[in-house]
Amino acid sequence: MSVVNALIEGAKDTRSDSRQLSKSYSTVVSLSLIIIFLQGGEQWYISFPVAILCATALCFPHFKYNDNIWFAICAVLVVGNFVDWYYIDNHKYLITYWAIVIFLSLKSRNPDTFIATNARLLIGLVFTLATLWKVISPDFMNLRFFTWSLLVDERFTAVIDLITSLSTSAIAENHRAYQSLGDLSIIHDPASTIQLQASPEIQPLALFLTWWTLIIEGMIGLLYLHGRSGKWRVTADICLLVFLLTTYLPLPVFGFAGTLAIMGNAQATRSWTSIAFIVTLVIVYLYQLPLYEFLKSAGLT
Amino acid sequence: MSERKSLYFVPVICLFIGIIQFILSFSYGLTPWKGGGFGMFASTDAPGSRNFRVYLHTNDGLVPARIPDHLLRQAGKSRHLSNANTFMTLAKKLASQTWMRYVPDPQGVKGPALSKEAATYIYGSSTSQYLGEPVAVNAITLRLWKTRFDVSTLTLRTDVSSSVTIRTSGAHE
Repeated sequence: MSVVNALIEGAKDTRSDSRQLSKSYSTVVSLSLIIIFLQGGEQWYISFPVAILCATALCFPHFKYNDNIWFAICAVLVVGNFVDWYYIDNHKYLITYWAIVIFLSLKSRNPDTFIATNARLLIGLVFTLATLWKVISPDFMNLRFFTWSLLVDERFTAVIDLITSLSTSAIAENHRAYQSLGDLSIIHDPASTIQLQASPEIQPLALFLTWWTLIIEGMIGLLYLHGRSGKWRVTADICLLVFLLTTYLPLPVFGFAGTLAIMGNAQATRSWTSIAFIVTLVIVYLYQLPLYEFLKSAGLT
Repeated sequence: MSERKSLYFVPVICLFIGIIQFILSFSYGLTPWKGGGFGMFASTDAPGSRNFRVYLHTNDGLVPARIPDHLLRQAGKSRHLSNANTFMTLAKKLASQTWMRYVPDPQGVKGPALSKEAATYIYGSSTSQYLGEPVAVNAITLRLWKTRFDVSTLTLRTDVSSSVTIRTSGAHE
């Protein structure tokens, strides 16, 4: 009971602060709670407590800006993700960073500026690190990565099927061959060489994806780290919006896309870019629907 | 923490973890896809391109073995973070298991999932009706295979990237 009382007291304390908080800050906090609720963690020891904490904050408004609730969310995410740090996807790191930003912003004198600055720097850092990896990777610039991805990564099935002449059976055979090599339950020595099936469009497509990804991610990283205001920020926002709308259509990683859209909204300097990020958040959520299967069943592929 | 310090706290942590991830990837076998360095979609060295095979040194010779289900998490760690330390941890846990011969139904009524020639050894209870007596395991070899992609020939090639062998406590001289 004392814990509950402490939480309620804490809620009362911070409720008075909520009067100073802007509407846009409130929107960012609400959207952040939703994304943490949906994507905070896959393991039960993260998803279960985080779901309860986020639901509490969403359902009872005076808990929304409660330090204790946000501290508990951060603690669960940090400890839970630390256990599987080598295994979890990178967007789990990003969601955890963002939860800590919200928590610290509650203690800040100017929460709006606090989350805007952190959102801008985090977006810039994420894309700069991603670009650095692509530049130094021995697989990326020589087209090896995207050629390999297009042929063996199931997430590119729709792209391959819609754009290239590679048959459905060849696509499935490539996936099966690759997955057989990484199956821990198989005891045989893996085959030493497997010939993948391809079509003439694969290489040009890999070339386009390689340079498009490098240029757009590099631009986003640089523009957000350096563009503090003015037209550079608007350019950065447009680049990020284009990236979100194009990248996550074939690769619907909503945890990453959604967090980036919320961060984009948090740092947006123009009202239209702010709205555009919210609209994009909804669109990337809808990308999770089986659009490719729908097109196929409708005979449109 | 001062206002200014807290303002840059999270970006500094993000950058710090990114640098650590670079170091772990280049020196300690961490896949570029994991570890918070945002190296996903940059390398073919994905977790799925790394695979383990376990071999038991028995009195009948070297035979392949299946990783027990309860050690798959540890095997997953060794796959994502492939270095001597994680290898040895997994190898020691494998060495402490009781390994039993998998005996297929001679009538073929309820045949095994794997062929008889596979000489499967399975640890566990779900297939207990097919298990014979525990076998003496002198040593265990753990091999990491990496799949590499040749972009000019469009072939996947698997090579043994590293291997470790440890003797079991009940090894027969």
